[in-house]
Amino acid sequence: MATYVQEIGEISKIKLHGHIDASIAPALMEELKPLIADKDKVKKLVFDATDLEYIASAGIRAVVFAKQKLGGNVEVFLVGANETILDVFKMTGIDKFLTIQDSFEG
Amino acid sequence: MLKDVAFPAVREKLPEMLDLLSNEVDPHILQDKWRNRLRVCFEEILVNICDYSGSDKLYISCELINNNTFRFEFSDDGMPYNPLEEAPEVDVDAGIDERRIGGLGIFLYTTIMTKMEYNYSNGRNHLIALKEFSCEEVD
Repeated sequence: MATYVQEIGEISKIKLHGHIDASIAPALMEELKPLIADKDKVKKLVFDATDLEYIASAGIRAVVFAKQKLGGNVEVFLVGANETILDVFKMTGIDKFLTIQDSFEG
Repeated sequence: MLKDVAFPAVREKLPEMLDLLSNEVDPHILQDKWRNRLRVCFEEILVNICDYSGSDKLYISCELINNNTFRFEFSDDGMPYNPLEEAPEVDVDAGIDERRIGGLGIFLYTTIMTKMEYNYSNGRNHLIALKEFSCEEVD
């Protein structure tokens, strides 16, 4: 998996690829830390899951971590996730804290 | 059927372990959702053993019983540890700030599996998971 952060104004996008399991999730956490440190500049955080094939609880934890640390003023999006990815988010109840969309224009 | 297939208890071997289990169960399961859910369970269980058991090896068993129920057994030679007893409660209805980062993995596999049991015998931890499918979900 490779992730990268793209910042366009107050929108930050993180592209998720392949499998986010226990060995990859720490790298995702590292990607999130600078965003969280500079959270006043972020209004929207977009996880682009279009190319994401699998996510384990370690990946879900990274999303929860981001949502908690960024606070209520930042909208967190999960975009393009397939049904099996959404299923894992729904089982943990994390889906209700995210704006789930097929695509993101912004 | 897999019977006590041994692996070094290290994360580097996880892809091999997961592929072995997927090859065993996937042909019987009709829905991608359930194939994925089982893979999530396997990974959570195996990562915990690799990271925390202190065991050099772990052992995987898998069999299909009664045509619609899988029985999985994960065992290791590490110190006695019952993850089912230690599991923190996860409140899926809690607000985001009340959500605890820990315990999601155990929550997922205890939710997905039909029944989980633990015992320590013959110097090994044994975590047993039963997953019963409806007839429409298995082939």
